[in-house]
Amino acid sequence: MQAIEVRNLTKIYDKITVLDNVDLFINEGEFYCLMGPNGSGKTTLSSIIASIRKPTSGEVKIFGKKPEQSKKLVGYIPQENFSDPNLTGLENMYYFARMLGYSNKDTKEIAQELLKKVGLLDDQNKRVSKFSGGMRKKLELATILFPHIKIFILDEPTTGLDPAARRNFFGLIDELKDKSTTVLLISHIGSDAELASKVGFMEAGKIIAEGSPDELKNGSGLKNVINIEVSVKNEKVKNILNRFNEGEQLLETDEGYKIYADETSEVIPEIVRTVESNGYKVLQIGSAIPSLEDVFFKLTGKKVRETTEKIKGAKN
Amino acid sequence: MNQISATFIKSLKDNFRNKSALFWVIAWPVIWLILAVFVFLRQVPPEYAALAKGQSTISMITFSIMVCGMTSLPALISEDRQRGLFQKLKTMPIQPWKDAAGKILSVLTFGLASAALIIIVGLLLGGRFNITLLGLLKSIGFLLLGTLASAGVGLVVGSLIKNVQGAIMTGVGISVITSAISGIFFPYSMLPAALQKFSKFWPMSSANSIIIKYLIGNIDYNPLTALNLSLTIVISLLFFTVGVVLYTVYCWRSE
Repeated sequence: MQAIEVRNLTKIYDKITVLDNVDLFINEGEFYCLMGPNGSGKTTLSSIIASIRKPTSGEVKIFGKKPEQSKKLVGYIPQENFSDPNLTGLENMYYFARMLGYSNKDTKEIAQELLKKVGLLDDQNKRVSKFSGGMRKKLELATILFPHIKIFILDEPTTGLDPAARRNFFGLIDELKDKSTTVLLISHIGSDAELASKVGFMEAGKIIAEGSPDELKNGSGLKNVINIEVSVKNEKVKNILNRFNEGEQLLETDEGYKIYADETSEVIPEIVRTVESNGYKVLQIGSAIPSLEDVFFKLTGKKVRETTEKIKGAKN
Repeated sequence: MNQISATFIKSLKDNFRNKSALFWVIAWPVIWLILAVFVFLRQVPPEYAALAKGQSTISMITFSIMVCGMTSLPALISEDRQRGLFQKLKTMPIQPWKDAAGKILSVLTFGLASAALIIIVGLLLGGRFNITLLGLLKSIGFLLLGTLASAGVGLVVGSLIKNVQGAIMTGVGISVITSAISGIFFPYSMLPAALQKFSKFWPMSSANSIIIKYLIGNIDYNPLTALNLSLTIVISLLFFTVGVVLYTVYCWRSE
């Protein structure tokens, strides 16, 4: 059965088309990740599904019903921390349980049960203002674990968390979600998308590619990625590295550069030799399997995250 | 009822844990009452002093209720919006009016708690009232009306001003300035003619004068005319209605 059906969805803000005739079908129990850069329309799409926004045209159905009629089945976590810092973890859970219609009698039991699930039972009486970022996210995760919720919509839920806390958060979701629970994750982080059974790449208001992470990677034709950290980052170094980039654009990362290559065993020593013969020092170099972010870059020529930058015209 | 009580309890805890709200709603009126008794009312002849202190006590209760509606309510709303709670709530099966009702009831309770403290302080300072059962009941009615009017202004401020500090300071500004120019901090007779007119239109000041008339007896003008009573009731309900409509539109509407 389809948990989420989106047909011909268009959203126009101030004459700008943010979503352009989008179709999206997510089966019950599927973990779907919508991946794309900022401004690609993924948050708008998820917020229409979650009934925060209304579409300009098109149709959304949640288990065959309109989103407004299916609110009870949807658990939504936005990017921002929405828990109340003046209240304790338990008081926050009481609030959401009562808002969802739990009786006074059942509230304490369910609130504590959910806090236990996310590992916050020992901190239940601590004010949220004293929680770490990771603890706060876990608390907010607990607000969508009520048993009647069948669809999780997670809009970049790990914003602001370090990689370890992010993995922890997704580990919890993996553990806690029921087999029949459907997850729609919005992310621009490739490692988050790897958890999904299906990934949709979104760009300029359209879903441009869709498939399992392996299907997308295999279909991209990318074989290997070389990550290289050089003593300096400048135009000269870029030009040197460009010679090894096989028909692809060179990608600049926070640490250094990414080169896309078929064979790495022979190329890596050659890169080191060439860079060092030009008077620069290679601080670190290694090959890796292409990530979903690399696949997105290959497909669109655009980076998913702002922290990495494409070098325009790096390869002619 | 669950949603109203959930919002009520959350908002009440937020209010009692918010130092700024505690200062403006409880500490400031109590300080002003003490100042009034020990500084401004020193020249009042002894035979009138007790009732004058009672009058100041009533005015500070009105001010407390007013600042509660105009400051605590916008603070609650803008904090909820700033941290994305409305985004979350919109995805849940919640009726906006229940959220608004819970918030308004919490503000009313917070204001009444403050009023109880101010009455105790007023009595300890020697304040006296001429209470009749009917006068007390009517006073409670007009105090609730003043609460609705203040909550209406608070809902407007909270709906339109997105920044938390901005919303709080706007609420404080409206409360303090309108109190100062409409006969809550100073007697009606000391106001210029234009402000005397304003104090009859501004529902919180008008309600204050009506309550003083009921519980003290002497006031500089008769606020119990049909016109004055009708204006107070109609403007209070108008403020409240506008506030609720704006709150529903700006905080709850799907974009």
